[in-house]
Amino acid sequence: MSKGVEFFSRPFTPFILGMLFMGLPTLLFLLWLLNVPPDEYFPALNEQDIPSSCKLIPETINADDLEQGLWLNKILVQTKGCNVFLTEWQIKELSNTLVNNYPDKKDLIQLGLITMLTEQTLQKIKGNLEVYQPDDIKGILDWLSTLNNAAKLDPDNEIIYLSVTDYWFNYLSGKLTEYQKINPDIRYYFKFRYLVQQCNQALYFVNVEETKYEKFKKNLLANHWVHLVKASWSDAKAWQKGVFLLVFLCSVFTYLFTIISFVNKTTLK
Amino acid sequence: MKFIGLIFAFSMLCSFNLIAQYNENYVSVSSETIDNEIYSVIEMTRKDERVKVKYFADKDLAGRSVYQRYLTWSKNKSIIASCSGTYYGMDNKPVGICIDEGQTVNKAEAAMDALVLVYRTGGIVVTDLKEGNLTVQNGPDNLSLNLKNPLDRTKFFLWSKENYATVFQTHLLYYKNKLRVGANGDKELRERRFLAVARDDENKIRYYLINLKGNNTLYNATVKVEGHLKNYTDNIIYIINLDTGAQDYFEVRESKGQMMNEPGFKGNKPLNVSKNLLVFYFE
Repeated sequence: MSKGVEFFSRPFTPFILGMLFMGLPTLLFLLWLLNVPPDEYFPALNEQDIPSSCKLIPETINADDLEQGLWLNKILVQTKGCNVFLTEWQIKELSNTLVNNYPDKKDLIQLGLITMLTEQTLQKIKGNLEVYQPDDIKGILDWLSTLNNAAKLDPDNEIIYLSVTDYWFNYLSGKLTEYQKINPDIRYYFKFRYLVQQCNQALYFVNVEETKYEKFKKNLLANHWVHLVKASWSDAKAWQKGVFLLVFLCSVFTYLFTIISFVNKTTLK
Repeated sequence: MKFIGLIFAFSMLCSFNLIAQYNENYVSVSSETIDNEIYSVIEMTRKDERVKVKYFADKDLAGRSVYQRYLTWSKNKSIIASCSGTYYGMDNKPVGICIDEGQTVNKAEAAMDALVLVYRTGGIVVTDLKEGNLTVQNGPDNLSLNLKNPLDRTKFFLWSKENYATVFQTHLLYYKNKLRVGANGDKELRERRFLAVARDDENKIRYYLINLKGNNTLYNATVKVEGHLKNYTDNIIYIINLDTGAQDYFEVRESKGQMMNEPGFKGNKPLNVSKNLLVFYFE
């Protein structure tokens, strides 16, 4: 009997081969784990670190401005480093001043303020949100939290606060969905999960998509074997199906060969 | 005494059968094999408003699952068909705007054009979010809203709460005589299920629930279904996609209430694990 046949006929051969094949990927996995950077948390902010809000000049607004729509650039004095997100006090003051000056134009004022605090403010900071910057997003979410509270305390301007928070939550949940599509790895980091949790709690669910690997793992753990086989087969390309069949046939042949050799050996004795 | 018992049992059996039945003049079920592919179609007319739709999007406030809610609600109802509606994410929440009887489930808009409104009266309306001209009944008046506008979005959510509206978002595949899905869309080959709405010769609304059992991309399936529907109607208003991915729930009943067992009228997963259900029923 040749040495090859003898090797495959030993009862522990599949175990030894399995150990050899598993050992290498395990080693590579451990090496990869060593290279994963440690998780980051949001820095604690001191009061000095928080930028002050930009100054407002509501007195520059006239009746024509209200008809044509309010412009953030006209009433906001944007000095270097100031925060373009108006505080709830600024919004309240601005709204009340304008309503007092133009009491018959309340609807227009509301619409103007909402546009200013949503679309126009977004134009000012859009560049910062092109790439994933969790600290900036957290800053906006903190701002939304103050507006959310203000909505409960200031019923006259409730619709403004509600519209602004809705717009930004909707925008940010969409951006978080986009970021994780570009870089799926961020889904495992604390900052991303924190931001997703904030949006989810406000009922703006971030659509975190499963990768093929995650889908496979989930079905495997849930014992959805039929689905797994069907889905894998329908997703596979022609060459992948060919390779699979080749490996399958080779395995069947090896097993048959082993069994026949074993039977022949036993019969000879 | 035995005689009375028998009469009672017989009358109970009759009443059960009557409850379980729907009128075949309003619903027809057919299945056809074309090029080795099964096209299963449930055609329902809204004439006399006997055929209605109900959507269950999420657990209720008491924590009862979608299936438990469906079981409680469906007692004494003649169910025609039940299937999954929109897609669900990893966190078991619907993708896109979703409201269940005024209760907000998800406010985040997804990149899908169809906003589906299921009225308490059993009617279903689909609007194209890109057009921005959603009209909803607000008491005696109509409220016109553009959901791309922040103020209108807030008004919409307030309206849906006040009116116990049920809403979900999905892909709009065909609208105003145009295909709305490109050949570069979802390339995954799988079974597909659509809801098409059309007007008949009497200008009445007809619903078509179409199931394609073969493996198709979203685009190929839409083209096939649009072509196939020409055998039924010339006036398709829209076609929307119903999820057959992670949650392929689909059950169809015959007019006498029995479950249909043909492969074209069954999903791959049982209803009792459904995360959302779109139910067509007869009243």
